[in-house]
Amino acid sequence: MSTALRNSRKLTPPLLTISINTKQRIIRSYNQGHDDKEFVKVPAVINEQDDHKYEEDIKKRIISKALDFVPSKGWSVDALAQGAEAAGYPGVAHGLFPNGGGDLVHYFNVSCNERLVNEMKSWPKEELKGNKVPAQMIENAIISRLLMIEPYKSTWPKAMAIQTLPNNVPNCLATLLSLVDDICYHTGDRSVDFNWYVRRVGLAGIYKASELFYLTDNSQNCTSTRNFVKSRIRDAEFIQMALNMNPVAVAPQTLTAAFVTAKNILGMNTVK
Amino acid sequence: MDSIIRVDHAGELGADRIYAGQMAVLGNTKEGPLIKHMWEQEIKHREKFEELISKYRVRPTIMTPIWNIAGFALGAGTALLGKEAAMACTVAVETVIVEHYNDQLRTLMEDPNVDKDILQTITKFRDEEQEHHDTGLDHGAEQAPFYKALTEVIKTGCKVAISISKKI
Repeated sequence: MSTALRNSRKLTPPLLTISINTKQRIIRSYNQGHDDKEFVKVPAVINEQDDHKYEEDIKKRIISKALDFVPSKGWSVDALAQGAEAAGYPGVAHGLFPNGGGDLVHYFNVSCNERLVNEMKSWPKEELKGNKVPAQMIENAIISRLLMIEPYKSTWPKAMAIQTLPNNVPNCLATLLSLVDDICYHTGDRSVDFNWYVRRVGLAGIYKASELFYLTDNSQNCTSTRNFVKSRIRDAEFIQMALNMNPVAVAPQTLTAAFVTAKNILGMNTVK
Repeated sequence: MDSIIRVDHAGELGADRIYAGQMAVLGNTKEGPLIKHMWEQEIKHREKFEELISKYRVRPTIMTPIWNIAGFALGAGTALLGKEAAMACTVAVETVIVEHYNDQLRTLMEDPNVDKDILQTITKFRDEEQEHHDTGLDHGAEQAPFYKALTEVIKTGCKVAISISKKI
């Protein structure tokens, strides 16, 4: 009884009857349903998990089509509406994405992260041995991820702006953190202490800085971005090295430095 | 699952540091070998959970540096009060940990497709912690100055640490 009630409640969403006719993209009328074979009845959804997956699938299909319209329409509701139509749904299906452009950017980021993880899984693992920072691998990961926004480079500044809108910030941070977590994990980071946080936050900073740099990079094969990423990773290695230094062993240097600084402040320095 | 592994790892890290603190003070007394034995077991526990953290890709607790220092301070501090106080500290900590492991085992048992590896690990560790608890009592924990107050304070501290580590 209760299931029947639940299912009957499920009959309300407008997605239940969807036109998959690509020639006539508008939903004509729900009343006009007399043996029109071009309308396909989607079976009533049984349980919530299937329901959720079904909705996700539709969203994914719409997004993948909508991305084709991004270069012309930007990260906007327009692109979503056109994408929905291209995928065979009515244009109003953009209502599935209450955040509009924000959702478009979010889904794009998520799918890029998935792609990167799949790529990284196939990379050779030989560099993982020893204590060396797998700088080359991290660099490759960052560059591969940056190149995924290549087709949308001209509109990407807008996307970055959209991501900073307050209602998009949680999603944006979550995708960024999952990205750096994946990169750290697949490049062999198995730290179980505070370094876990240091590495991830550091990498997130490097990635975001590189992203900004990449937007204005016109060099061939984006060699400037590559160099930029390289030097940022080297900086991070230096910082890590300094943090890992034994405080007792470097105490003399630290004290000397403090003493010299104090002398300089007091104007007692010998150098004229 | 994430929070179970995270809090257990934090707990074993703390325990490891407590015994390290006790060893730093009492290492050369006749309790030395005993504490060393328990410490070695705790190190094995910690390593096991470190392995599980990597396996399940769990985020370690953000408080690791704090637990690191706090554990050592607690161990060394109670050891400075004498070996009885050190044993009382062991008893208090292990009581809380055994209770905590029992709670976790109950939760895990409810789940039909639970990872057997984790279940066995926690059961084994629970038994070893119980042993430490009994060893502590055998070695005069109850003769410690202010035994009741001391253990209550440490127990409360451990419980707070556990609830913090579960979340962050």
